[in-house]
Amino acid sequence: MAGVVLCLVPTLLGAIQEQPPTLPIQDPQTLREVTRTLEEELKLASRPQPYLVLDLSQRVMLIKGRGVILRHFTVLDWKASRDATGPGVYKLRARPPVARPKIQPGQDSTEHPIEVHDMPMEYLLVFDRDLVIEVAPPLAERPWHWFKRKWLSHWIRVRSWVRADPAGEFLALPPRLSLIVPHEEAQALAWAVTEGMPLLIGRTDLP
Amino acid sequence: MMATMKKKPPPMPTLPDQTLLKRADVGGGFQLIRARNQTGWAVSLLVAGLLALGACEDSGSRSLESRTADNEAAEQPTLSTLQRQYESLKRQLARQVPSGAYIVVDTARNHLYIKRGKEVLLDAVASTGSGVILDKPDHPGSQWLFDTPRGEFAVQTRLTNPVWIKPDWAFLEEDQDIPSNPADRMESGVLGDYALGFGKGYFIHGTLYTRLLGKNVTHGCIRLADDDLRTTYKLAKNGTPVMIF
Repeated sequence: MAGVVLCLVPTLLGAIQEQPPTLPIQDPQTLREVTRTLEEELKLASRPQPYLVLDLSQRVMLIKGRGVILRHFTVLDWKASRDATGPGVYKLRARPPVARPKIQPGQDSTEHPIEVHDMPMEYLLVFDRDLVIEVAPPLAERPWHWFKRKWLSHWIRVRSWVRADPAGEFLALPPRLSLIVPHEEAQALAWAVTEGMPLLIGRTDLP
Repeated sequence: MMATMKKKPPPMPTLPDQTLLKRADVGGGFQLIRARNQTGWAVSLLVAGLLALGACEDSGSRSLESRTADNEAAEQPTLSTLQRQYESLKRQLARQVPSGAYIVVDTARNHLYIKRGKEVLLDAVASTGSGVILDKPDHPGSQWLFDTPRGEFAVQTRLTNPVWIKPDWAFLEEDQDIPSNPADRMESGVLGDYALGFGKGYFIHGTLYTRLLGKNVTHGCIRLADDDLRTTYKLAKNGTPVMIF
């Protein structure tokens, strides 16, 4: 009896080792995309700098540092030019501008501080590797701004077609991604981003 | 002698309106190229308009999966290989998380957290930088910016009963002359019982103005209430990571 058990042990151990781990993601395509994002994130997480992760399939933007989620932003809806949502790492050129109050000698600096609600709720984030992310609140929260944004967006596009270069080619617009974010979160995102902050676009394994 | 041969480029497909659609070399997007023929101009605009109306856009209602599927059809690792790769990457990413306690400061919400893994050991109301500007009087064009720095730092110094060495701006704010004697800059009892330095003169310290906790009022340091400061001092050692966003 003991001999039979001893003979079975290696077979059982082999079976346990060969059995693939049970994971929540069983779809190969999804798993491939998640794995690719993880590969890129590993590089970012090894550096002492917070970074952004945008997962359009889960409609979420995250601020992370060392692999830890520092803040979670909900993306209510998104729209992108065809070449704007490919996976990859981008680098933010500049924070959205904000008017900083200037104090005079003898003046209390605590009287007029900048707070998160002073940040814009509608702005562009321009990244290296040619990507522009347009952040805006939903139509219901700011109807006039929504129409203004739509009109401006079409006007920019029309101008790029009309102003062709001497070779006859139309001016190419950079890949553009529009994110609809609740206005408090849009302001918090504008507050949190910093110049040179990396952005990783890809699929995450968030539940 | 070698004859130079010019390779004839392959013919480009032409649309009836003489507008060419070519895949861009960089970026993968479609660019419209205007035909030299002026009669094609109006039709070009029409095609461009159609593209603008949504033909060239993805939206939140569509899946991203189909786009990447084509490129990878050729090299398809098995599901179990992918799962092992995924598990391995997850383990490597988990190793990047600080092994001990670490400090997280949310400057938008004015909160300081001390965490270990996913466990929150302390959630404290804090005060962070006001973001205002003060001109340097003897350096035209130069300014102080009272912002809390963002990024990843580490606790470098742990002080008990810290004494504040008042910088120039503290005197300017009070409309006082900047003292020439360094001893006149010392002020004790204003930073609380402890101070934790995380570089470039920035500290996590206490405050006399507890009513301002939760607001952006500081010159860049992070202020805490006495009890929270004591807990922070106990949990944070030299080298403890401080992540500020």
